[in-house]
Amino acid sequence: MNMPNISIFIVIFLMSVSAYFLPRYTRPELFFGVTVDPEIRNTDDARQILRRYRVAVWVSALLAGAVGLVLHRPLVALILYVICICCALMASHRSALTHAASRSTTIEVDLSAPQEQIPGGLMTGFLPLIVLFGLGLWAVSHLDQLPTRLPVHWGFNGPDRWVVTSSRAIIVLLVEHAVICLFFIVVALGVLHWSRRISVSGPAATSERQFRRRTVFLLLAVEYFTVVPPMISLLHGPAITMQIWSVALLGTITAFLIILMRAGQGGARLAATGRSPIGDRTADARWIGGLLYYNRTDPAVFVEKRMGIGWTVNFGNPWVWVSVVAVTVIVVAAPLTVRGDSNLAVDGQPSLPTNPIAPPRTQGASPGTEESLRRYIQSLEEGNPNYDEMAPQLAAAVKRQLPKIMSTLNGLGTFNSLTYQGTDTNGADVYIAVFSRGRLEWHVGPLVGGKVAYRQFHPLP
Amino acid sequence: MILRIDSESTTPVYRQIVDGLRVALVNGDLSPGDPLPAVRRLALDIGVHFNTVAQAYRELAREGWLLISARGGAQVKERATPNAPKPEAATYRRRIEELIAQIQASGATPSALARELRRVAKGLEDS
Repeated sequence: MNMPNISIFIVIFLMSVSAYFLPRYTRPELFFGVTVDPEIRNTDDARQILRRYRVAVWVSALLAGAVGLVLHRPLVALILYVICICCALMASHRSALTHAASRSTTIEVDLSAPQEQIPGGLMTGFLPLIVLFGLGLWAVSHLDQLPTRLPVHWGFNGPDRWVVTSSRAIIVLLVEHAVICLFFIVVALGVLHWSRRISVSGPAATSERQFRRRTVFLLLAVEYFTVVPPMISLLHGPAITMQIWSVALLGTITAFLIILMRAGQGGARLAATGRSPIGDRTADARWIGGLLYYNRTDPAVFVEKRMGIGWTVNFGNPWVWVSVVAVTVIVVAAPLTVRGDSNLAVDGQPSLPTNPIAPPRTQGASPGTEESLRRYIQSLEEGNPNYDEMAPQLAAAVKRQLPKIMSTLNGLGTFNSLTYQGTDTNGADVYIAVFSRGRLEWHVGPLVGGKVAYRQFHPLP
Repeated sequence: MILRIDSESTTPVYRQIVDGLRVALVNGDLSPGDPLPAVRRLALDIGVHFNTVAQAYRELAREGWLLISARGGAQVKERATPNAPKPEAATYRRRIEELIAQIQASGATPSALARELRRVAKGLEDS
């Protein structure tokens, strides 16, 4: 089992632990998304609902784990697990409805409540965007000093996807990260300004404010972390920096989540009022299965989640649908934009930009590139690629894409000749390989320690 | 200063906001210069449309209590002369009798109601 598979199972385990304790960190007056008298939690019936839910959590985890192991599809296992947990929550919600209490009809608002702002003001939120903009200006004006390819994705063993360095690739990379930063700013503003205050006075109101503030801190922290990968990519940072970044990001998120869970939803853990329950100031009837909130008459965009901690959106608000569509378009379009530039066809390396070949270099090809390419083509024809002549990352990529590479080569027939054409704008030597039934254009980077680190090809008409 | 709204009341929310704020203004719980929550903020917290709060603010502004800013904020204004129409004594009495009947109909005993009225009257005389 490889690392990504193992990590999915770790994620399922951690989600199960979180789901197990979920009923403990919701508001005391909400039990599986139903407004109740807090004392209900101590009854036998409520304990039984809780017990059944927790059994369902672990059964779901085991079922998803088994499916993942049998089918070798960790993502399918994860999706199945999420569906099972949602079903368990909805079933518990239905059972809890029998204990629903009348919600207090009195709405209280503190007219003198302080106005909440992003810590340090809006500039704190927009600073990462300014950094990305500055980085973009610097990178585009120093294109010749950048490496020939930029890592855009990192795996457990370092970068595993690249794009050819170009102004367009840099702008796409930075715009993607800027959009992510913008997303976090919008959510932070939403939590502060487009959600409802529930407790109006006393310690409950103070805890609630603190909870919101900590949530905003978490969002800002993640936003600042978002700026780091493009910096490492453009400034050619060592692979270990991304590993440190991953650990620091995970550590920060975990620390904040533990703090927020300990405080309970809205900072209201064990803060029962003793009066008619106010719940979260939304009507039970407006919740679908206790999970989705739909209320067209409520101006709130964000509402507190009834199960777990944090916020969800009011699907009755038209702006939410506009946002959902916008986010979906961005999520779908972003990878397409990057792939459009990198055209990861074969060889695990980014393929050619639209106009790749610069005028031939006067000094000729880099030493060893032609021989290495001849040996590589020969090894492919023998069905046994010479991985020992490749840098580890290229070897891994070739292994991954070998069926596609072999299929391309088999369709071209036997190898006849190889001619040096010049050098592309990234410094890689360009060759044309002629086969009995077609031609390929190869780009081979200068050898590093006698090994090929950069190589790509594409068919010619 | 806490504003209370009864979501199940037959009195429209806009009217409850006007009445609640006016009580606070008359009693001095809100002083000239005090800011009020922005229209959007108050609407969000109560859970009503922005126009409901905007209408309430506009009515209080017409009465001379509030100064409304272009950005939806409102501030308590120095109110030297009453701008609200001055009703007749009979109108006062009728409204008070209607209110008493409404409260009695909801179960309050005459003696408890009389005690509350005396307390309110004393507060008025002392002010």
